[in-house]
Amino acid sequence: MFRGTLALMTRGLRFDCRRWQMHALRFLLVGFFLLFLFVAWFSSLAALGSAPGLNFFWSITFTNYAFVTLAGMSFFTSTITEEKEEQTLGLLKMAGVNPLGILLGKLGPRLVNALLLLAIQFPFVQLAVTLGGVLHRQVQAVYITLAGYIVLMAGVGLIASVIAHHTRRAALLVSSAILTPLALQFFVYGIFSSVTFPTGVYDTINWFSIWSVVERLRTVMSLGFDGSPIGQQFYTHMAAGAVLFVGSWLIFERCTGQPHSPTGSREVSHNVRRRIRFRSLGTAMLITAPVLLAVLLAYSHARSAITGIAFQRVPTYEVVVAVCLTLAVGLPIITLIVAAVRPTAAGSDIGECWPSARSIVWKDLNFVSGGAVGMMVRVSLYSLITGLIAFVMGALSGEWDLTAQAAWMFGVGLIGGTMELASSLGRSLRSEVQSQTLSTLTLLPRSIRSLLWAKVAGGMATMIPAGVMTLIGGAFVFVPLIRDIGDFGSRESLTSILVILMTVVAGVLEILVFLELTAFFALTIRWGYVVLALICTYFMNTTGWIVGTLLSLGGLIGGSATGGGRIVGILAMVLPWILAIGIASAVVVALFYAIESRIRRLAGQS
Amino acid sequence: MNDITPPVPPESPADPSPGPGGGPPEQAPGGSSSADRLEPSPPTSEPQPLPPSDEAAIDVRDLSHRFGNHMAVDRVSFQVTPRSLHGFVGPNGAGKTTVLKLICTLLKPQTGSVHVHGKDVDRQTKDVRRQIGFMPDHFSMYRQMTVTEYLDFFAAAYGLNTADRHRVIGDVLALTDMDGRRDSLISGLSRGMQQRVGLARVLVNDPDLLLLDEPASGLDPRARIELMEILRALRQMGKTIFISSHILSELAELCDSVTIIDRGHIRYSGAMRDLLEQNSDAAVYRLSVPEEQPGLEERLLALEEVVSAERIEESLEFRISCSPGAESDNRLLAAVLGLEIPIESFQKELRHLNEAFMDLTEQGVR
Repeated sequence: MFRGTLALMTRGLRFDCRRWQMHALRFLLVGFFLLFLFVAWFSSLAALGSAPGLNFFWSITFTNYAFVTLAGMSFFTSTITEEKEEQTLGLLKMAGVNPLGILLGKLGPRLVNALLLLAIQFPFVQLAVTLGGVLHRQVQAVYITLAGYIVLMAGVGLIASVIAHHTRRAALLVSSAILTPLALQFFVYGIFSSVTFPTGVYDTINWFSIWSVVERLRTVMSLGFDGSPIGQQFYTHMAAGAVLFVGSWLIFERCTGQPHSPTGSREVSHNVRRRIRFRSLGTAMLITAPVLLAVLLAYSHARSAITGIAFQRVPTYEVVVAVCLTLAVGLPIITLIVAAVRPTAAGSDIGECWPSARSIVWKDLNFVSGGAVGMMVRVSLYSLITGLIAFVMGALSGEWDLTAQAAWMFGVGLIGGTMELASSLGRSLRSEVQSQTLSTLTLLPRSIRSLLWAKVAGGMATMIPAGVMTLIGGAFVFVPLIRDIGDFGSRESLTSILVILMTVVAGVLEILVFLELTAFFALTIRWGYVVLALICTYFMNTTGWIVGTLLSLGGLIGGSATGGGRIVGILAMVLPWILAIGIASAVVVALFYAIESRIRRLAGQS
Repeated sequence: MNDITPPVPPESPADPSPGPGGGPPEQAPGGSSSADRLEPSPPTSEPQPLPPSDEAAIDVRDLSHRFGNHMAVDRVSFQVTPRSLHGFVGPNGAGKTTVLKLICTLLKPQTGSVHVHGKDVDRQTKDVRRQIGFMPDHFSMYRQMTVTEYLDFFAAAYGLNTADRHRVIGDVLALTDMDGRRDSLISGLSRGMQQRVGLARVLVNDPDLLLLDEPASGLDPRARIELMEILRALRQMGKTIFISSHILSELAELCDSVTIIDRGHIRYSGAMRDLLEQNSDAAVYRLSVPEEQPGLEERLLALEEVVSAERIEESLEFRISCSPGAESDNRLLAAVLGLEIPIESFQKELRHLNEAFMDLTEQGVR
């Protein structure tokens, strides 16, 4: 058994050594460290903070936490699925490597790599102690906490990788496993802030909090930490990692015994597609619209009729919740009814392809982004989220107001829509590479650039629900903001408008960089392209923010020293933005050409 | 007397060999005669300019392409006549796929030129793309689509209107005999059927020129035979077909002309029949008689045109060799008929393409 396991481990380590992505990741981490160190040094020089070592260590800790979480969503999720995708799992079994050997041999190198990434930081982080504000014990405790968290993430990634047939599905499972507790946490905190529960409930919740790596890090980083470097969180995470590993071993044969036949699942989606088409969804929306209007207008009256409370006293958030829930639940039901009533058309299940350049939009919308079913699910999901936000803020916190609700909608819509667009664009390009269709696609009588735009349009079509949510939220956030600026002619107003404008432009450019990075990585690596793009964007953003802050500070200090006064102040505020916009624009253009060139190259190779 | 190969009109030794597909006379890249072309030309020999050929379906001149330090294609020149079926043969790594990708605009020529129906692939890329249909050597498919959805997508992408798309999809499905599977998911189709769908996809924009890279690779014998039948039908419809394949026996039967490439250099380009007829010593004919003819071997030897005649083992077949220059189907046939013996068949013995291929290509791995 161990011969096979060792062979697999050796192969894994060699493979990782050859992969440029691993080295890029290490360089990225080193880059972060240097950056944080520079900021700490600058802060100590300028006497900007009381404990530069603590700030430095906080930054490193947070980056590590984010990296480990993202690694759980991507790095560990392909442990077994990559063998499934390459159809080599059967060969490994035939070579006499048993399931335990495969799991150990595949997970081992990844775990070693991840732990080594953490271990190599340890000597350098001791600088935080030298800079002041952090104790050796705290450094040890943080790294032990993170090591436990890595083991847990490895276990979660491994079991998802055993269950799922593809890395993408495994990543989705892990993301859900990570994000669901976060959402629950948000919900539970909402409940606890407004409702009093018996002590037993609090005890149970506290017991569960020992699982939380965030709680543990908060405790460790608190002033005067004097506890053991090894906390309960470490033991629980190690135990959970081991249980997940054993669980993966137990279900391994069941999940991988039969080769995956994609035809079956495709048949199901094919049949669903056959019933639910965009036309059915459109009809359902037309039917739902008056129902929503009726709920909006009649809810307060209906509630007051039932409860006897005057309808003026019915909280507004309840109306919002009622409308959102009606849409979230009603739309799928009405769509299903419409689809059942409507006779199934012969020929193409999803209707005829849209002509010319729009044909690619049609293809991506229907075959990459889930088509009408995906759109229906998204509308329901975003409505549900909007309703939940209103419910938590109104019923539980008692602090609902339209601007706060709109801000949440804007934020969730913008982040959700951007992630959806990135994911859809990435998947669309990746699927072309995987199914070796880039050559046939680029041979169509149109340029690669127009092809790329069509793919972006296909992705944008999927984010219509998120886009609508962002627009509604944005309207309620920005219109009052602009109104508050007041007299547009004054110098103060102009400065404010300028800053808002630059913020928006910089934000849009940052989103564009993220999308382009996703597209480029999708054409370069097999999995984890969204995560890698996210990390790179975060790095760029952090670098930009730090450099911008330093420039502003430098400008202000220089201005006050030379007596430059107001003009220097404005320049110190505006110049970093202009610089950031300029650099981001250059990156956007360069990435666009890089993507175009990459597609051309891949098409020539396939 | 039956199964006699129709006599070929006498041709002067000075006559240039017919071009590919019976087209205009063609000269080898080295400017040599077709007989000379059988000898592998040294890779460094300077190619001579091809005759002007605006009418050629494909006109490749001095084409070179390099991947890093590796010269994949080195000053390659050849032409393909319209409405012909042209084979493209070579060992693994010879540069076949690179040439195909250069012709179909997936790669840009680094030096030299490629014209498709007179249009430069580098400068008139979009026009060329409208005229060609390229089928790569792998299944390039959206497997989650049905056959109709797949074809409809490509037809729409080529800008066909709805009515035309319905008609074209019906036509190509009928041609490829996939009409009964139009609503099947591509992922559920067999390899042979997927290959047919690939061929149907190539045809949706009604291209004049089909570029097929290893279309029969991995297919079972039935699927291969059916594919060849479809290609024959397409040739009859007036399409020019440029086919790269390893299955030499089928190419020999199917193609009008052939280009043999090895290590990035053209070893032969011309009519298939010329290649197969080439023999270093003499033209060889095969005579078959229905019953035992005592002394026939000696009587054949006595003929003026015959250099040697031998019986093939214990059969009723004789192999007759003519002296070089004397090979004329008509003259020899007339002489044999003059012997007043019953003849079952009389035909020129052709080399196998395998033999020609082995002669022209070099051993060893690139």
